[in-house]
Amino acid sequence: MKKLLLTIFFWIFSSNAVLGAHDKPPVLIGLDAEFGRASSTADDSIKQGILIAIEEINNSGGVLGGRKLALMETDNRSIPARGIENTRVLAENPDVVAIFCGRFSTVVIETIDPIHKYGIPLLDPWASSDKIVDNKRSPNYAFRLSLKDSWAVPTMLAYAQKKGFTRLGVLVPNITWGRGNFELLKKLIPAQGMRLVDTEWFNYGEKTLLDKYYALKKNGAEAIVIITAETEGAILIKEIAALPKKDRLPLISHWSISGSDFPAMTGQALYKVDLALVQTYSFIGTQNKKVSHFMNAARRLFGKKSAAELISPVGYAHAYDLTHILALAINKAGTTDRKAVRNALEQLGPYNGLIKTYRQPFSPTRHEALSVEDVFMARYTADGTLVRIK
Amino acid sequence: MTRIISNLAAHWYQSLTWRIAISCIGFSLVLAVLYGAGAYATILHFIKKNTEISTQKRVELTAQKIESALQTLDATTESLSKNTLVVNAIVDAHGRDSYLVPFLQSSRLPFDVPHRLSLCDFKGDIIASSEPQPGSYKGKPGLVETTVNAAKPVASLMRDKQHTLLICHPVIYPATGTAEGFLALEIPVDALMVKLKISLGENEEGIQIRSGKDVVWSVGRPNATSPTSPLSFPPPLSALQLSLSLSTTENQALTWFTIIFISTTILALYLSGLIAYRFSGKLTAGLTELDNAVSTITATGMPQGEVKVLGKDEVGRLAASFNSMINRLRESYDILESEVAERTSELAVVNCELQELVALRSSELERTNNELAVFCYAISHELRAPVARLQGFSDILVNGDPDLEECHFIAKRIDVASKQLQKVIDAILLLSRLSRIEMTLRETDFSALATEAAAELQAQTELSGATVTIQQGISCTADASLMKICLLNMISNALKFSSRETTPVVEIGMLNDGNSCRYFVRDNGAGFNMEYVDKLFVPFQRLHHQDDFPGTGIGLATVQRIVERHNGNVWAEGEEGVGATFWFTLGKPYSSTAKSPDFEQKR
Repeated sequence: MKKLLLTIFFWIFSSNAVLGAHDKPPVLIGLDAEFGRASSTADDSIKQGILIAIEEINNSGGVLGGRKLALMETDNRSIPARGIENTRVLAENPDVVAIFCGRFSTVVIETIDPIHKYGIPLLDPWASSDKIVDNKRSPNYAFRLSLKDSWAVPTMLAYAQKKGFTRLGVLVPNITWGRGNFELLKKLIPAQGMRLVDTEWFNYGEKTLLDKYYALKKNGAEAIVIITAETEGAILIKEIAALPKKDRLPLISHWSISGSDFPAMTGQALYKVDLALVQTYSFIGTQNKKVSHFMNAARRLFGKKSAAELISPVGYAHAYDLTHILALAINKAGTTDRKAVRNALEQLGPYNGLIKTYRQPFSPTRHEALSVEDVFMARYTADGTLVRIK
Repeated sequence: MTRIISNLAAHWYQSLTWRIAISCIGFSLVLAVLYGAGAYATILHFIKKNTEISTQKRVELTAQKIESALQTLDATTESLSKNTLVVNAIVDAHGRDSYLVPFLQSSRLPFDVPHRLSLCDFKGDIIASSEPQPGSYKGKPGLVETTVNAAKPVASLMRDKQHTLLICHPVIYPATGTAEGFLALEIPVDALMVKLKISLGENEEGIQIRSGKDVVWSVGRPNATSPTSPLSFPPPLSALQLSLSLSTTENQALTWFTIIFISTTILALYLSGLIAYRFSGKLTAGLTELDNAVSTITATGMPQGEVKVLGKDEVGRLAASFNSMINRLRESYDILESEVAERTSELAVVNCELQELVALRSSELERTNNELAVFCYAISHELRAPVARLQGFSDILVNGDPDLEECHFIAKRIDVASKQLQKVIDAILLLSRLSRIEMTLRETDFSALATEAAAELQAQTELSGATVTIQQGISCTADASLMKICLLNMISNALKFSSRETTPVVEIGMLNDGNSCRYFVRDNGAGFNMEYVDKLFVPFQRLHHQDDFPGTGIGLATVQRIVERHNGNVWAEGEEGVGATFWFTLGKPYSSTAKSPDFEQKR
């Protein structure tokens, strides 16, 4: 009899639980990234990082007492106009509590206006332009757990200095992100005792950069600081690799090229060029429980057998940590109200993330979860993985 | 018009020259109508055909120009859309205006034409433009969709009330391989057409270009009924659905042709008429010469002048014949003229003679009237006496109281008076009868008549004891009976007035002085005073007393009447106490019943 009652009680409880779970709509997380850009892997890494985190969160009871998190993605194809439109679409969905952005700072910068118009938190797991977070808005709805250009440039220049380069050439794209980095480079190169011998601008879509490379070389560059995405970066690598060895200058690159399977795009040419690029995280050589747990989920969810298969690793790591931080903020806010969540993000306590332990991910005066100390130079290994340059 | 027709009708009937000319004009007009209508219709057909062909060619040429231009613009737009600055701008955000706008503004088209070059995002919002403008191309149906589908849409739209052509070309972002926006080139249709120099050509009055149903450009005055030729462009230009309507002034060409044709026809008619008139004038010159000659002859009535023989044709031969005829007529006229002159002179002579005769007869008539008057006076006087006596005597018988003897005396006086009266009346009657008696004129033996008359006066001759001598062999042309009476009276009168002579002689004879024959009766009797010669022949006028020489007083008047009937003259010569000679001639007799033998001969 009792057994029957228990069974019945258990069934009712379970049903209620299930029903209750089904009754509560999911909390949507928006992700607007460059899914339509075939060469980009950062979008997938961000998405997978978010999904791994969502699974964990949902498996832990979700947010707000049982509401699951769900991902709602849009494709901006790395085009600012699409990013603006997608942001509007996501923001107009009342169930979307926050929007994750993708790799391209130029796109994200354009979304700052609608983000603040709709008052929805922007969570940036990759785009590095300073202006994304340093947008002079108040309240500021942009939060980043990623590299910042004003950290990347000094890191690159420190590397160049360490390598003994005194004359640097700069190859920079004619976009907002490029112009922003150039401003930093123009200011910091001489500040660090080096000389900016030449700056060559290029447009996205150009089929060759060799003329610009030669110009830089002709003007005496010992090394070239390149600010570029993977498409143009691959063109440059291949063109330099085709040159005689003595004509190949070392390249010190920003991290955008890592948002792709750059080794696959460049092939063996990659290894003929001295290329170093900034990074903020590497799964390679990192062993801990969190990483193991993450890798298990990655394996289980996305078939990633090893860390080497995590292309664009910073995306995984940043998105994963940022999702968890968002969940914490939602729970802290106790609501999906975006403003409350935004405020909560600034009030979070310590969080032990994948990348690091965040004493306080964000604060009212600091919406950057990482810091310059988290930035390092990395290099592609022969198996195509990015490893820290020691 | 009526006046012109009436003038033409008048000329037609009055002038062979005009008739020929009008006939030529009419013939030419008929030919012109027949051939001209056919030629006109044929040429009209060819004009229309040529117009259609030229219009078609013009349309094709215009279409080629437009197509070439649009394709060039499309190629330019495509080229620009692939420019890395444009591609870069699609993925750029803030700051792109610094290079994009100058690039759009500095982009040159293959031909200089005002334009607007804009870069648009995938929604059709304008990212940047060569000209500052708000807005987007969102409203253009299918534009954005087809653009992002990498098609190359073209469209026509209105901007600032001006039709513009919009050529869009997608901007493909190589990194995604997708169209992430499009480059839009707007060109005002007006400016494009001006640049392409599409304007009205010869014989064109309007050109209209439509995009679908919308008129995007027109010049001149397009005719809504003019056929529309669709411009067959390859995609994507075909999306414009351009069609061209070309209104030609075929009517103007036709009008000009018609004007020229009619003018030429009129000119030809005029020239043909002029030539025909002049030629017919030459043809009819001979006839005109004839006409002039005939008019001259008609005016003058004289066959004079000569017609110029202007050729050897029928008219020339007619002129020659006419000249021959004129010459013959002239000869005949001359002959006639001479005959007429002769006749005229004869007539003049006759006329003179007639006039003389008339004058004579007039004078005779006057004289006769005078004589009649005198005669009547004499008659009345002569009759009065016996009548008075009769009346007196009667009165006595009636009113008096005569006795027998007185009565017997009176009766005898009445008898005498009545007998005297009877004698006077017989003499008057005889005198009157002499004026009316029918005369038979013939050659008469005058001497024989004189002899017969003397024989009948034998008693008186014997009584007077006169010797009557008659010249023998005298003839005359006279009425025998009347001439005998004349001689009786003259011989009786001669015997009477010579009766108191001792040897009275009476001579009867004729003197011929070569000009005329003068007949005479002479006596040696009492003669008369020549002062009163005029009274000798007045009836009842006596130069001697009745008792001296009794008589009726009518004898010489009778002689005068008879001689006058014979158209002669009678006169007397005398001397008192010596004698008298009574002459008379016998000329053309003047009588209503007498016929002049001379006149008969002449006729």
